[in-house]
Formats: sequence, structure tokens, C-alpha cells
Amino acid sequence: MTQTYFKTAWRAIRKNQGFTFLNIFGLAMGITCFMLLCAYLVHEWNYDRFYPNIDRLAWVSYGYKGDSENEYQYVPTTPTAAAPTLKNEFAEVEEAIRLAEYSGEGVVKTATQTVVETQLMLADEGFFQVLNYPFVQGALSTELLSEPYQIVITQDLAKKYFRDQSALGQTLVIDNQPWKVTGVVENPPTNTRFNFHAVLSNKHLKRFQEQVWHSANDVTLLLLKNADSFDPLQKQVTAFIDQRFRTSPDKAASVQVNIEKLSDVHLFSKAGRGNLMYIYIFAALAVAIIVLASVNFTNLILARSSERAKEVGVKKVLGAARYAIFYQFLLECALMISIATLIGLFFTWLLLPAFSQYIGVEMQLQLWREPLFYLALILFTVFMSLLGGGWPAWMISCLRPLRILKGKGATAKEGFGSAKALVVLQFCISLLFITCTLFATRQLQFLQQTNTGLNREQVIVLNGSVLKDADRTALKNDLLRLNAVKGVTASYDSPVSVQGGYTASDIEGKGNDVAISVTAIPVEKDFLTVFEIPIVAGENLTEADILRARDTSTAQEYSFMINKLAAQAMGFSQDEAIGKRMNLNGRIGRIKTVVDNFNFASLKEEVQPIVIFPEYDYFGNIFVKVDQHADMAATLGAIGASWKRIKPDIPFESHFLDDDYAALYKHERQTAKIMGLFSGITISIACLGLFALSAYAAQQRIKEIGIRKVLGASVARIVTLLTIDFVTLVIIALCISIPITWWIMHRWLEEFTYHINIEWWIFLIAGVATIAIAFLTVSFQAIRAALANPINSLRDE
Amino acid sequence: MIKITNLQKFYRTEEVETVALNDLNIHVQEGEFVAVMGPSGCGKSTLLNIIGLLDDLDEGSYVFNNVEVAKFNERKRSDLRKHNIGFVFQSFNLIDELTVFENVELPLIYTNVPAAERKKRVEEVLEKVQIMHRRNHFPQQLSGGQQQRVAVARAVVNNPKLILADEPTGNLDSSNGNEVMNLLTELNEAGTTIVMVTHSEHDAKFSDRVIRMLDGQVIMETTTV
Repeated sequence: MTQTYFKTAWRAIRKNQGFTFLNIFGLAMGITCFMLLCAYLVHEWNYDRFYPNIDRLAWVSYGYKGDSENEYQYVPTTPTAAAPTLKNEFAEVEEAIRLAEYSGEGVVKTATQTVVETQLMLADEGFFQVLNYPFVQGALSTELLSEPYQIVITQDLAKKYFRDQSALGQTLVIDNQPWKVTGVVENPPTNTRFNFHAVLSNKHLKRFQEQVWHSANDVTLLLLKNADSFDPLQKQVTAFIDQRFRTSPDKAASVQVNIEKLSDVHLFSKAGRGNLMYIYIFAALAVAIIVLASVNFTNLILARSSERAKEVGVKKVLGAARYAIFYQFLLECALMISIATLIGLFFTWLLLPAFSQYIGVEMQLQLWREPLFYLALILFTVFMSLLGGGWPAWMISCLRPLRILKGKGATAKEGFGSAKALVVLQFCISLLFITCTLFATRQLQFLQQTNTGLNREQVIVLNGSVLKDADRTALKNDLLRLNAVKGVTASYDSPVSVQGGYTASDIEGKGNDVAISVTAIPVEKDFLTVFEIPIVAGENLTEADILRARDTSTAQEYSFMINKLAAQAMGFSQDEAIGKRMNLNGRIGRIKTVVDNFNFASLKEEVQPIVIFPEYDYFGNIFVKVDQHADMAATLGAIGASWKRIKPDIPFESHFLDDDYAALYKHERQTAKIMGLFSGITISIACLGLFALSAYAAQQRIKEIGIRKVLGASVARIVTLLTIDFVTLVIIALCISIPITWWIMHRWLEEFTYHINIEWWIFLIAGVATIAIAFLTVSFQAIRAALANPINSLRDE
Repeated sequence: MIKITNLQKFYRTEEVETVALNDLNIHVQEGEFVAVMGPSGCGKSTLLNIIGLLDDLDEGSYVFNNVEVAKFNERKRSDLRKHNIGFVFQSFNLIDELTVFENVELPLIYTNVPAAERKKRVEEVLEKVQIMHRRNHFPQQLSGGQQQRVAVARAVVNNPKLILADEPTGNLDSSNGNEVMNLLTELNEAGTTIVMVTHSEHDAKFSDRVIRMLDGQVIMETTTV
């Protein structure tokens, strides 16, 4: 019997090719979106979870807070002492390793080329064992990184530098230092935080031999002896740290060492980079899209069900039971859904690279290697068949044979009623997406345009980490000679995202036990000038301040610049603060300047107290302020030429400070982009459904239209008659979607300290646009029906 | 075979109640060929649908093969129908997506006849109605007469005891109509009971007995032989 069902189903599909195409295409589009989103979700969800030892791997994060603060600030890094201490003091820890970014320039020289390699990491020798990492050349051992200047590289790097030769024992020259290759490992997948091109031994660096508890710069990774010792270990570590720091001179700050499961770090950790909220948003988006596409499918099947009524009637008369009819139609739907799933799968495969580029998350998934993937695919098809085909099959199987054979149109009208309810649901979801996208875009625009108190326009950022002091000075002098360059300065990290956590203590006139946690940033002399940060009291830095700060004798003194909030936190008015002595993590000096408050972090956070101080040890960034009337391309060329004169062996790289600022909202931008894309798709799917449904409605009412025309109705009146129903549906959808959108956006915007208000006109725009699109979709069919010669439809009778 | 007593059938809308069949009594013997005639709206088709268990009766009794079936549920009706009754409609009601062979095969599928047996029986019956050469055609590719022959073949393939025909020649020209009537007569001669609704006096002459109806009641019964 199943064979007959298949045959009938296949013929029915082929018979109504246009309808079938629209239906399958709409569904395939939805499935593609669903699968792309699922790919993203799988990618994020499996972050780091594929390591064989994952249930025993722990990430150590570090929390600290000053006396005056209520909450700990968490960083994903730890001081150098953490790993050895944890390994030596606690029996639960099998191995502990440290990991840090290689801080050199990363210039790899071969006979033919000079390349700057990124993603180089310094690690303790146990790194690969802790992760149980798969090797391509060489084997897992603790000897790999145990000597200075040993390096383990990835397959890609081995191929790049050694082609088909074995890389083992070969030498790679990085920053003029030869490194001996002791192993080649598989390329790390895209969803791990250990996304390296090469791992270098840290044995040549003194700082890894000294165990200190300040300066949290390293990642610490633990391999526990067994999977359930996380909680006991955390308790012991907390007790240990309390004991260790009770007598610490740094009593102002309290410290926390957190043992987190590596598998949870990406999404759940306070120190993680992923954001669970966006996982939820994308999951909701995926579910919404698949529901929408299924609804569309159901809708079209229902709308056309009366065309199949005769067949159902005859079959019932001939003795077919209801379940047999249900089964037949379910099978037919399942067949269409399977085709749509296969098409969807193909397009997902085709579009995944583009999608991954679009959202800015590198994704390389090899799901097709997993047997589970195929099971999931089969389950998905079955589920979709029940979701999309179950209801129409049930409705159709309920048709009463007599009514149909008498030509009473069966349940066409009922089917149509449900179809209308489903249209409302579809447009509700579409409108929700569209409005949310509009709000998100506006918020991002607001963030980008908000005056954060420092002028980041026309500022080019160069890599300062590769320049020594003399080189930087030479470059600055060189660049200042260019007419287009208005100023050059440098700082430790980016002024739009200052990371450094410091403590200001021994503040003059405030007693010895007052200490304030502040953010602080070492800067070059012209920092305030280049970024146009307004001075509210005191004066800007001079050459003399720099010389005093760089003095190596006891005469060394820093000139601190603080913001208004810092002055307030210290209990000074702006003017009182000037000249006060203070200690910033061992740096003694006086407050020279009070500047206006400016945002030095994401606008999700409120402005905090900050100390800006001249310290010429290390500058990660060099900033070149370009005149706004200058020719940017020519200026960049000139800057590049200067760079080449001073640092010929390092390629010139630059970007705009605005890009750094934009990067602070990467997640938001990603989400807005995805939402934008998918709101476009959902509205297309909804319109596809509406198009088919309106065609069907027009066809159903063809006799009525004929009669009305004969009686003198104008084309406009008939078009109105046919479109008003559908437009009403969209208006109902709009009314339902507004409060839901309002609630969601209210929650989202609350995440930002600085945000836009929920404005009514955004709803208006989304509503009007959607209604217009729906009207256009429907009116096409309506006009066609209205222009038809009524004689034709009436003669049909 | 069919014994209907005091049958009442109403059609109700919110405001009006129309009596379709009013205190109707009918007996049909096994092997009989009965024609039901009457003007449009007199209730012939409603009667046929009730006999075919496609429609409920509101009052009265319906005994089919000595079993009271008036209160049967949908499942029992469907069961009784597929084993005992064949239908022929004015508009043929063939399924467009199925070939001639598949259309005729359908009732056998619903009665779970094995495939080999199905093939044999379908071929036999297609030979009988002389449409074997068109077995792989779709209904739209056939003439009206041919379509109705297929419909008759489908009605008899399960060897039903009763064939219900609702104006079987209504959509056919006279020669095709005669062909179908001859076919029905042959089936009747082979032992199948036939109840046929018709407007055509010509067709009625093929039957043993004519029941004439008006306003939901039997007004006259005549024997034609």
C-alpha cells in the first residue's frame, strides 16, 4: 500500500509543479537558515569540548577587588606563580601549565620571504599532554618544549615553511632567533581558545622561572586527576589563597582564584569570551525560522487541500479508512519535506563559508564525519514531517466523502481559516525580527556616534609592540613632518578599551589605609592632545614630566593624570587634586592633571576612575591623527614609507581606531547582522506563503469576482476586496508583535548603560514597510483576478 | 438484501429544516436491478447515499443482509462498504493521479488483497469491460465512455454484492451510455444486485423494477419485465 501512496504522492507533486516548487523552495530556504544557525550553535556549544581530557581540564581565572569595591573583577589570566603552586600544593592536580602570547614581533625569515606570523603561543612543556593533542610528526612527550627555543608547529605552518619535507629537527628563524621544530600537530579547529599556529617553549624567558603573584598575564590550565574533584579543589584553593594573602602587603586588594571547567569557560565563565545570551538569541531565531517555514508549508498544503478532496472522497467511498488517508498525505508531505531537507542541506554546505564570513565567526565544521549527524538529519525530517504535514494530513483525512462528492468544497473554507491564523503567526515572527533588527541597528549607530569624550576620528593605529623606544621616536618625528599628520602618540593598550587594573594608594591627605581600585594606562606625552581629551584642572604633560618619570635614580617621579571620577573617588575636588602625591602600584608621583570623564570601555559599562601616566616601557599601539581634509590613501602611503625606512624587515600594518571601537560591539554587530539577514528571509518566506495563498483565494472567489464585475464593480474595488483580508491579517500580526518586541528590546537595551529609548516610530516604520510588502504581494494576484474577463469565470459553471 | 423502513432524513440549517426523505420504505431483493427515478431534489441521491452508507439516516431502520446497520459507526460502515458495495458515479470520480489499472486496483488495496491476486483480478475485470489496452493511461487520456467503464470496473473488482449507480450515463452520449448499461445488465445477470438512480426512461428500461419518488417519498413502483 505504501508503494501506491508513494506513487500517488510523487504524481501529485509533479502535477502541481508551480505550487510544489513554491512550497518546497520556501521550506528549503527555511531549512537552510535553520541549519546555518544550527551550525553556529553547534560550533559555539562544542567550544573546547572535543579534547579527550575535557572532563578533567580546568581553566584558572583570577578575580580581584579593592577594599572600596563590592564586586570582583575577573580576568581570564593568572600570575606566573599560579600554575606551579597549584601543581605542587594540591594532590588533585595532575598537571598545570601556563600559556602566554608570544610577545615578540613574530617575524619569520626564510631564504625567500619575510612573514609576520601571528597566533604564536608560549607554553610550559606539559601543554600538549594536558590537551592530549594529536600529532602528525613527532610524538606526545614532555621533551617537546622542555628546552629553550623548541617549537611545535601546526600542519599548515609545516607545509608553509617545509613543504613536503619532514619538519622535525628543522629550524625556524623567528625574530632572528632559530627555533628547533620538535613536533608537528594537527591544525586546531576553529572552536577552541587554543587557536595557535605554533607553540614555543617559554624556557628562555626569566619571568616564567620567577613565581610571582602580581601581574596576571598567563593562562593557567590544569589537568585534574579525576573529573569530580573540581569542587573540593576549589574549596582548598580558596582556603589556601586566603591564608597566603592574609599577610600580604597588598592588603587593599582581595584575590580569588577560580577553578572553572574548561568546557564551560566559553559560554558560562565570567572570564569567557562567548556570550550565552547570543546563543539563546540564535537558538530562538533558528526555532522561529523553522516554525515559520513549517507554517508556510502547512498553510500551502491546507489551502490546496480542497483540490485533493475528490481523491479523498473517492478513496473513502472505496473503503479507505481515515488513518490510511492520513498516512497517505503525511507521506506526501514527508516526501516534499525530504526533498526540501536535501536542498537545504546542499545550500547549507554551499553557504556555510559565506555565512561564517558574514557573521565574522570562522567556522569549519566536519559534521558529516559524525554518524550522529545523519541520525539527527533523519530525526529532523521526521519531526518536520509531523510538524508541517501532520495537521494538513489530519484535516484532509477528516473530510467527509459525501460532502466532497456532492461538490460542496469540503473543508476548503476551514482549511483557509486555519491558514489565515498561521499567516498572522508568520507575520508576527517576521515583524518581531524586523523591529528588533531596526532597534539593534539604531543602538549600534548610537554607540558608534556617541561622543565618548575622546576624539577617535581620523586616527590610524600602528603596531607599537614591534618598535623599540628609539624607533618609535624616530617614526614620530618622521611622521610629524607630513602635512597631513596632526599628531602622533602611543599608549599601552587601546584607549577605547583600557584593560589595566591598578590600585591607587598612599594618597596625600587621605591616610595610609585608603586604597582605590582604578583602571590605568601608560601613555606617551601627547596622548591628551591627540585624543582631544579636555583638561579640567592642571596642565598637560611636558618633556620634563617624561624625563622625571624615566629617571632611574631616587628622583624618579610620575606625573599622574586622572579623570574627574578618580578625583571624586579620592575625595578631592578637581582643583584640590592637583599636586597631591599618590602611589600607583609602586609608582610614586603627583597628580598633575584632572581630565574630563571619557569612556575607555564598552558603553555597556559606566565610566570608571582612570589614571593616565607617562611610562615608556612598552607601547602596544601608536596613534597617528590625520587631518580631516587630507587624502587618506596618500597619507597611509606616506606613513607606510616612513615605517619602511625605520623598520624595513617588518611589514607595515595599520587600521583605524574606529575599528577597534567597533570591535567592542562585535557580538552585538554580529547579532544585528544575522537578525537583519534573517528578518529579510523570514519576510520573504512569509510573502511566498502569502503569494500562494492569495493566488488561491483569488481562484476560490473567481466566480464571485465575475459576478461583481458584471454588476459593475471597478478593478480597484475588486483589488481592495481581495487584498483587504490579507492586509488585515498583517495589521493583527503587528498589534500582537509590538508588546513582545517592546519587552525583548527593553531587556536587551538594559544591558547598555548608554542606550537609545524605545521609539514608537520604529514600530511604525516596520509596520508600514511590512504592510506595503504584503500589499504588493497580494495585489499582484488580486489585480490579475480583477482584470480577467468575467465571462470566462462565469462560463465555467 | 436491503430493507429500509420508515426512513426519515432532514437537512437542517440555522433557520430551516428541510425534509429530504419522509417515511420511506424500500425492499430490494438479492439479484434485483432497481431503478430509482424522480425529478431533481426528490431525494433519490440522498436515498442512494444512505443505502451506500455514505450518509446517516435520522430515523427509521436499515437492514442490510439481515444486519441492522442504521447505527453503525464510521469504521464499521467503511468496512461493510468496502467488502459489499461498489459505486458508479455520474462524474466517474476517477483519481486523476492514478492510471486506469491503479484506479481499479484501489478497492483491492483497501481490502488487503495480495499484489499478485490484485493484478490477476484487475486484469480480468479490465478485459471484461474491454479497456485492458488502456490500462496504463490516465483518466484524462480517456473518453467519457471509457472513463465510466473504468469506474464500473473499479466498482465490481471486489465482487461486491451490491452496485449503487448514480446516473451512470448522465455524462455520456447515447452509444457510450448504452455500452455502460449493457455492462451493468451483464453484471446483474451474473448475480450482482444493482440500485441505479436515473433521469433517463431509456436507462430505466434495463432494470427489473422502477421506483418513482417525489418530495422524499415513494409514489409508485412498477415492474418493467
